[in-house]
Amino acid sequence: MSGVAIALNAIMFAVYLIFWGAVFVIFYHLTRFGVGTQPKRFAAVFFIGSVILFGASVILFANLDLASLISK
Amino acid sequence: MMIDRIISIFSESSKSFEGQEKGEEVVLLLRRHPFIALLPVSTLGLFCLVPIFIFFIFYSYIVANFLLLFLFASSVYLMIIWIIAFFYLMMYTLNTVILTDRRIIEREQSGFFNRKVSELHIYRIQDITVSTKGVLPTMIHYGDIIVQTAGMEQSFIFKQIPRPEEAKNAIMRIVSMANAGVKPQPEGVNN
Repeated sequence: MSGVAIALNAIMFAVYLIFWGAVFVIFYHLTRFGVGTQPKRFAAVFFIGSVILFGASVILFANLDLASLISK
Repeated sequence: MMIDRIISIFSESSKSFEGQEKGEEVVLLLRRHPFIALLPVSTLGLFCLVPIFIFFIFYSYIVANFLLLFLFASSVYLMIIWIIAFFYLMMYTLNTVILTDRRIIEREQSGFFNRKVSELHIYRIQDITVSTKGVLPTMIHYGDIIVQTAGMEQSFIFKQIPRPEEAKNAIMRIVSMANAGVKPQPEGVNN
């Protein structure tokens, strides 16, 4: 794997880490401090949407041909 | 059992909150008007359309060379929009006014780790004023409820409450019942 590909992988790892950190903080606040059913519903929708978006992003990143992109 | 507990969050549940005293019941739960959350979220919704516009403007170039990269970049962009949208929704839903049979608790969330909780015992409420200023608040029926206490203390102001007249009447009924020694019944919630 070339240096650029390793750097891109490292950057995306950091981006996903920050993303899941933000997801955790928002989810924690909604479930811990939320009163009534509304915050819990928001938390459920938020978590499911985060998983779907993350999954799509990872699948697309895995299918990227970094070598040909770098050569272009 | 586990599944029942998970599904129960989508149905009505008891309005418990952090700091609730033993035997204390939530009588009324108020949140700001949904329009306050709708405005930033709908703006972010428009931002979600940006990748679609870019795709249609540069259609042939993207499809020929960078389709997967474009889709991947769009997914990362949407992830960021998703986080920002739910940050605003979190701020909206965590700002509450909880009226129990003993006190009024105002919880204000100003940021991720910035929270203010104020409480006022029901017996100290002297009078309540409703203030609706502006064209939009008048048209979609939201305003501020100002609770005046006995003594020289600062008033409590509950901002951007939907149907503030009804909320004020409900609070007055609860205060009257509490002062008469009758346990207030739940008035229903606006969310």
